[in-house]
Formats: sequence, C-alpha cells, structure tokens
Amino acid sequence: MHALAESLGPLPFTGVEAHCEASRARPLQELVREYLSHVYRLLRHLGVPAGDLDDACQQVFLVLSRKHATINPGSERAFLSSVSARIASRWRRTHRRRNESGNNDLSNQPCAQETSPEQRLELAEAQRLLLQLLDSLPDTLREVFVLFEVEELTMRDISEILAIPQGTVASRLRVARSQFHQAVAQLNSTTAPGRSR
Amino acid sequence: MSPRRVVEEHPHSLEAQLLRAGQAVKAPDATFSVTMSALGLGATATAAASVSGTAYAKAWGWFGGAAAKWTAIAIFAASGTWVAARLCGWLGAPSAASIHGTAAQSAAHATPAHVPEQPQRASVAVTKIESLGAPSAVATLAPPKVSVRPNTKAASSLSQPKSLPSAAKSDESLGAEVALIDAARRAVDEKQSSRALALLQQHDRQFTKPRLAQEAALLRARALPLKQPAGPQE
Repeated sequence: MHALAESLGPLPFTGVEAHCEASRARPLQELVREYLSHVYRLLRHLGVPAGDLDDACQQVFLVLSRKHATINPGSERAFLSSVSARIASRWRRTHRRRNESGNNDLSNQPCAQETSPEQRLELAEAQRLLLQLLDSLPDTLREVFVLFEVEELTMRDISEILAIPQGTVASRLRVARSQFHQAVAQLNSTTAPGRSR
Repeated sequence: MSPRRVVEEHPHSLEAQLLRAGQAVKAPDATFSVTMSALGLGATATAAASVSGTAYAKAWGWFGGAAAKWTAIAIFAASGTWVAARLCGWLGAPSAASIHGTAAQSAAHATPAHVPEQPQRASVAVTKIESLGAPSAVATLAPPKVSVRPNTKAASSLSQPKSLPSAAKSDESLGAEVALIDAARRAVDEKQSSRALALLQQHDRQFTKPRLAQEAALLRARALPLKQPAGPQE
C-alpha cells in the first residue's frame, strides 16, 4: 500500500501544517462510516466495475489511513474524491488493457425499506441507464460531470481534486453536459416510436 | 460563478431523474465491514507491535538504543501480522491481504447468498439501452455476476472444496432462471401473452425454489391482461 500511495503522486489537501492539526483528526472509523457511500458511488460512476468496487474502496481508505494525520481537517471528502478519481482512472486503464467489460449491475445495493419492489427495480434500471450513458462520455469529461452533477461538488473543489484550472473545469462541464444531453435525447428519440406502436 | 446543476435547473427531466438515481447509490453494509476489517487489521497489528517492541527493548535493554526498539518492533509486527492472518483464517474472516488475493476466487465460487438479485423489468429503460447499441438485457443479466463481498460464508466455501460444485451448480441454475425470465419478459414486450405465460409456467415447474419469484409474478401480472379478449368492436 506504500507503493500505491507513492504511485498516486502528491495528493492535495495534505501538508506539513496539517501535522499540527493531527490531534484534531477524526477517527478513521468515523471517516469510513461517513464517506464510504460517497467513495463507493464515485468509484462506480467513474467506471470501476461493480465486482471490483470493494477492492477499490479498500484501496482508497488504505491510502486515507496512511495519510490520515496529514490531511487538513475538513478536507477529507475532497481528499477521498481525489484518491478515488486517481484509482478509478488507473482501474479504467487496466481494464482497457485487459479488454474487459464492466458490469453495470448495482442491484445489490441497499434500498430504503419503505420502497416497493417495483420502485427498487425502477431505481436499479435508472442507475444502470445512467452508467450506460456515462460510459459514452470521454474520461476527462466524465470525471468533471460526475463530480459536479452527481456528487454536487463545487467547481473550485473539482479544480483542486483534478488539479486543473477552474476554466478547464467549466469548459469540460459544458461539453460533458452537452454530450450527456444529446445521449439522453437520442435515447428518447429512438425509443419513442417503438413505444407508441 | 458556478452554473446551476441539472437536477435544479430541470428537476422533472429524464436527465435529472437519472442523476437523482445515481445520487441514491449507497455502499452495501458488507463493503463497510470488509473495508473496516482491512483497515482495522493493519492498525491493530502495528499498534500492538509498537507497544510490545518498546516494552521488550526497555525490559532487556539490548544495545540500549533506538535500533533495538525498531528491530523488536519489526519482529513483533511480522509475528503479529502472521498471527492475525492465521486468526482470520480460523475464524473465516477475510484479512487485508487475503481480500485482494481471493476476490476473484470468491467471485467465482461464491455461495448463493452472494448472488445479488438481478433487476428484471420489462421497462422502457431496457429498450432504450438496447436501442443505444448497448449489449442486450440477456447479455448483461444472463451471466450470474456475483458481488465480491468476502464474508464468512465465502471464506468457508473457499476452505471447503466439497461445497464448490454445489455453488457452481447454483450459479448455473440462476443463469438458466434469469434467461427464462428474460425470455418471458421479451414475450410480454412483444405482447405474446400466451408464450409469456407458458414460459412463466415452465419457470414454476423447473424451479421449485425460484429466486426470481417476484419478477415472475410481476411478469404474470403484466401478461394476464394481454390475454383477455378485446371488448366488442364499435
């Protein structure tokens, strides 16, 4: 895991001054409890196959455990997002090399008890469709789009997480939204005649 | 200035609905347990080794310096990790090292408990995905893809080779069940109610303990109204 943390390069949201804040660092268990769903969702939407999500989550939190003392308090979410984006990027490259296809099944995820089976199926179907549409976006656009539209991070946070200027974030977001909108429109236009029959 | 998000700008659009569905994704409890065990094992071993190493070096006063302490810590860390790994093996819990190594194995040999319910729905969405040139529903659903959530059952199934054939057989039966349900769903989509009902009847006969009973019931409920004769022509 040392090798993993080093291979990820210098991570934002850490620093020497943060060592002074180490006494105020939150317990690791608390961080896992609070941010696991965020990391899981982010990894999934950034293209990590469902079968590899547990492994990828562990990698992210193992990096967190190593850098825990050096993370600025309050920056944990951004730090985890940054690590998740890098790990997902590496995962995508690996899978492309292996020429593997991901599995879009998210049906094993927990749902609120009060939802009916029909609602759960609809939700799973919508999630599958979203992943399918996200797969059609290029990686650089996908990262920005997911962080902004799904994770609802600010442009400033995204620029720090991805280490790109805010202007680049804005332009990528604009293009990503346009492509996503076109994909959804294409979806509607191709299915509407079929459904009306 | 930050642009408005799609879910705020067009809350009722299909895009917003899809994005909201994406926001609803949550990590399963098993992922939390596995992550915690992976983190907890390393932290416990290191802390225990540090305390033991310091005490040992102090008690014996070997070389009287930091080298003795760190040598002792290294020895205790190695032995502590070995003991923890053995304990995990005995208790059936996955260790940090074994989780990575056995992920593929547990996926291949997982017991039926690890097989998630496949989403079966004759919906607009499936048609939409297919129309985009994506793999068909059969292609995505038919292989019994199992989640990689090592737990005690997975560990025990790995350590007991005798249980492997039954797990493989169970996976096969799930694949057959999914294929049958999917065929019925396509029949319903094509408004071939008789064929759909026949397939569902075959499903009932073939699988005494069906895992997709809810999906079958849903399809039957959709197929039955199609079978009813149409009302008098005006």
